[in-house]
Amino acid sequence: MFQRLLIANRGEIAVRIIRACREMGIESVAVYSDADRAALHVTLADRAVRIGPPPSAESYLSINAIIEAARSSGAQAVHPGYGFLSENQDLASACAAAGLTFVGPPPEVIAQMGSKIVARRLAEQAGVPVVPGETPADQSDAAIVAAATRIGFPVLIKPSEGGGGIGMKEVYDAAALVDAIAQARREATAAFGDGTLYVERLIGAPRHVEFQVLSDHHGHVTHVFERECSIQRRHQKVIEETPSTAVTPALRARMGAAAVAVAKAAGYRNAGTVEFLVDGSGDKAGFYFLEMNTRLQVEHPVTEQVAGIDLVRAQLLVAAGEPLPWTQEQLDQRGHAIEARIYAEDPITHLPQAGPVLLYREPSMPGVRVDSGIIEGAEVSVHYDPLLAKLIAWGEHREIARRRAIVALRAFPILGIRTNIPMLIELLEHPRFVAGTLDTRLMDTEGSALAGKLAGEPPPEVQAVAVAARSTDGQNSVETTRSGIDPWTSLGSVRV
Amino acid sequence: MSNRGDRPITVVPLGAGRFQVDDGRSRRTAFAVAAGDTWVFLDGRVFVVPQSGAVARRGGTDDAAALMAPMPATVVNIHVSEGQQVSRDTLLISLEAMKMELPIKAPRAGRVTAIRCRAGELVQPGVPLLEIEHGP
Repeated sequence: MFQRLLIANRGEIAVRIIRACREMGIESVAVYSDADRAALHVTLADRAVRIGPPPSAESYLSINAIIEAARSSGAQAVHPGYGFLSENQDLASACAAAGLTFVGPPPEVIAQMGSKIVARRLAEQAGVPVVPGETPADQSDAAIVAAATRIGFPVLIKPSEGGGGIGMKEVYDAAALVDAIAQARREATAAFGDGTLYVERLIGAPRHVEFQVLSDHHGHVTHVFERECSIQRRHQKVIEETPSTAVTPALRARMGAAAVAVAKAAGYRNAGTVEFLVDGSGDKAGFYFLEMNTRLQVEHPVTEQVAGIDLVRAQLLVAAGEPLPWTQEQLDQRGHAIEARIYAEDPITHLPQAGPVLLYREPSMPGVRVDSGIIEGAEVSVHYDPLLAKLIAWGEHREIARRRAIVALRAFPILGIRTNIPMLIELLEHPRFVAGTLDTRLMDTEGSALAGKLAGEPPPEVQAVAVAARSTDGQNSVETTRSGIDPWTSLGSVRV
Repeated sequence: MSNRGDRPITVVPLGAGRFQVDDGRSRRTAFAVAAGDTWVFLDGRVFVVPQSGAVARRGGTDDAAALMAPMPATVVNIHVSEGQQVSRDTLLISLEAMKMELPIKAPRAGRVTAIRCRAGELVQPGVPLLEIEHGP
């Protein structure tokens, strides 16, 4: 096993990996930009190396800076986390050239799965169905319009390189296409340094169900069941869970076999995720290979809670050349887990928020896990992804997990920046979530109704608390009434 | 709820930014004060109580607010020029922050009288990015 590992990431995933290192007796090396000098991952790691100024392109996306940090700190391996360079074959190659172990698949596997054309061909050859689509060789507007017309509207325009919902545009008719192409191209260039676009048929009301796979260097390929990720907004996942309410044992067996077939065909190593669109539910539901993510996923904790395993530990073992710590037969699903992603965003307008975290208190209760990258007093920067933390609730069955998640979110104060916690609670209480009848459009169709619920007047307790906080500096008890002389009307309007 | 109208609301400090609030049902709340605003957390909801009533309600119906960056952001593209007539919802400026494009659209029809930002510039919230003179 490695003695020292560099984590080429920030935020909650860097913290998650540092914790796994500590348990395994591996020294952790954090990297940071100037904006993250005092970030949680920097203070938790055994050592930390500055890699550049705040913009990602000059720090967390700089392969040279990462490799140099690994060299200077004496690390033997590099864990890329998710996002940033995690699916960049050049980092994997640069690691190999520098004699460092990259915790992930070999560069050629990243390259082939990163290309949607190659990945699709590979899935088809492995006998797994795919959604119609193409990357036009000619990337001119006219050629992309022609491709969309060939495939048939509605279509999804997305960066050929990349993921995470960035640069994805749904287009319902030819009139809206040119604007969508320009915007997707700009976002793709800004995020991934490559503006090549992919066009695919948009399937109406599908579910997004993905399978976790893990392979070692000894020929073992296993899957660790599914994750349902249908609650999304603009292709950015918001709530994930496992098991999926749409997946029956027979469908699970078919999809699991398909995921393993794709991983085998790709010569896959380490942890990866095979994403499918599911059309319908039950034993006979159709499913289509969407893409393979050649990295650890944000939502990996729900799998860990239900399968009772540690995916980061398994990643490190496999990267060090050891066999997988389990066989397919040993894996089982126990209970149900739900993850809610806590974003620094306005719950009504969905605009990302930056600013100081004045108060941050994680809930602590049975069956609840919080993976977080921030602490009270931290500054949420405009430069990075707005994901602050993930709350994962486990229960013997789905309803227990759902209620636990709600109770925990109601006891999770984050003040100073707005977060989507109020929206997460509304989603978890939505009749369709309760019933488990999900599809990827739920937030589009129900979003404004949910936002409307959040726009009401604040209850009088809020004003009483504000008066107490201000008049006494929070040190003394205050008693007041709603009627009669009203000490807080002078506060004026309240922004909710 | 309504029959509790005259019940006293008791707020007892618990220290470290926490209050126990009791209006017949006892709950814990959290608060923080910054820049004149008091942030209050109650049952999973967050409320911001400004010091004076002068602060505009959020929601972006205000024309001036609609022409400002909602957060620190980079100007990606300016789609209009000075003197140009625009109609309601015309895309004026594309901003980018936290990997997302934020469109600034015309709140009403009018004529662009001044552009107060440049492409590539990092702009701050609260500052108008351009000015529009609204027709009759």
